[in-house]
Amino acid sequence: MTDVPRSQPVIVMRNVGIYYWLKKGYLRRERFWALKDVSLELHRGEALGVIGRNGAGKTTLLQLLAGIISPDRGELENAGVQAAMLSLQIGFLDQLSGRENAILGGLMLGISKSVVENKMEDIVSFSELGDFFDRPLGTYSSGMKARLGLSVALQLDPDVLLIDEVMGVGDAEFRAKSEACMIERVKSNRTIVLVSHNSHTIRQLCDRAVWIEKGRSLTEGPTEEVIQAYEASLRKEG
Amino acid sequence: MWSWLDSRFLHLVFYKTYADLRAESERTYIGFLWWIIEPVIDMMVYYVVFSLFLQRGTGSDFAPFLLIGMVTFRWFQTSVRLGGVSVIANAGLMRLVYLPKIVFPSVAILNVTVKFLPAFAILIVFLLIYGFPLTPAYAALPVLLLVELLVILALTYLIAAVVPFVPDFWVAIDTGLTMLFFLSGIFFAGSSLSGKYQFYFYLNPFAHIIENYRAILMSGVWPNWPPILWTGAGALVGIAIGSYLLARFDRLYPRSIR
Repeated sequence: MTDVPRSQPVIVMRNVGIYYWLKKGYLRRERFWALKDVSLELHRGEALGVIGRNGAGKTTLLQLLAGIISPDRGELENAGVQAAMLSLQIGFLDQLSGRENAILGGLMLGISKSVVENKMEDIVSFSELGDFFDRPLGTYSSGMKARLGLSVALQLDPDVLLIDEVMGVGDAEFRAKSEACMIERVKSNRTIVLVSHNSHTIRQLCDRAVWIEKGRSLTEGPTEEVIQAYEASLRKEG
Repeated sequence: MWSWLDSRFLHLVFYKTYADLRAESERTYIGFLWWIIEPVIDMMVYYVVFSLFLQRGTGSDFAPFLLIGMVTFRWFQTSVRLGGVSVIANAGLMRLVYLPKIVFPSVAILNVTVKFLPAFAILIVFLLIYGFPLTPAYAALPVLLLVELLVILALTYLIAAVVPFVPDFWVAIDTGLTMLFFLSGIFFAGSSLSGKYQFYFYLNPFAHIIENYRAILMSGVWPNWPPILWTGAGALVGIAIGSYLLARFDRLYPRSIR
């Protein structure tokens, strides 16, 4: 599968900046640039890692890629792909069953009800919820809720899957299964963006990486090179 | 990727409303039966107090007079209260997934409307039992309901679009709703006002809406069409502006709400 052409960028960011308003006393506010100057290219079928310290602007970057917010300067081009953040629960309601929540989550991701219903069997089997799937979400353990959320997001398969940090929820076994599923996605030429401050996961999953520091993209290239530069800077600062 | 009248948009609005209503009804033992029992109790209280105890001077029909105003005004008031803050209330959700923001006030209005309809049906039953006849003028009722729905959509969209940027505005809206409650002729008839006040009274579209509900339901008279149709036309303009603003600031809301 590695010889599939990966030249087409699906999302391109050029010198993107975005600010938030911070309150500064009575009736006064100040711009805070969460991202100052970020450039990157996301190609079809690649796993792109975004590495950087906490507060570097990684979550804001994912929200931009998902089309939740738009930049204040620079350019963001999307070649018409649907990018969705992998979240554990998208507006789930405790009183509804796993099945109904799956439909609700799918509709929120912009996927039609009939498509969700066609994939329902895959969601049921991947989630390993068994009989619980038709019981109210309120009866689930937190691990089971996470499994439902991940199953919906993974099985509904958006064009670009955006993953924030490590998914430190759910039991180790299910986490391993989700990671395997993501590796499977990467191998089957699907596109993912993985954001983390931890180089381990990015090394494991990504072919290319971008290093973000204080709202600026510093290096973009093969994972190993970028991670070495990042780790060198961490060591320098002690 | 999303467009306004996309079938996915409508599916989401309907399914989300269904989900919210299901969730609401699951919180109590008898669930959706409350949507019928609550208005029945409400109406009984007004009937007992105003038609049996007080025997108000305006004639003994004060209870139906009051109830028509209360029930139809409450549809509007509850929609604006719920829908006006709906964009703010869903701040967490909109940071996880892109959704056209018009979804939130639309879901709120549909939710309130689904609960209004049984209350309105009970009101009609009450009026028929009370002794008002079913007349041909009832045929105009759907038009009046539609015009009120348009006003609700217009004001709720406009308020929901602006409140996230100026939260202070919400305090003013809340006060405005209370003022409107007292100024829309729920407790008195417009004709009982002196001439110079009548002019101002009838600038309020709800004065016309409520008066015409009473004309149909109590007097069996056809509505006074011009003010109703003008209100509907104005509401359509409001809906256009409100949905334009919600679309215009679509990607600004997730970072403007703290």
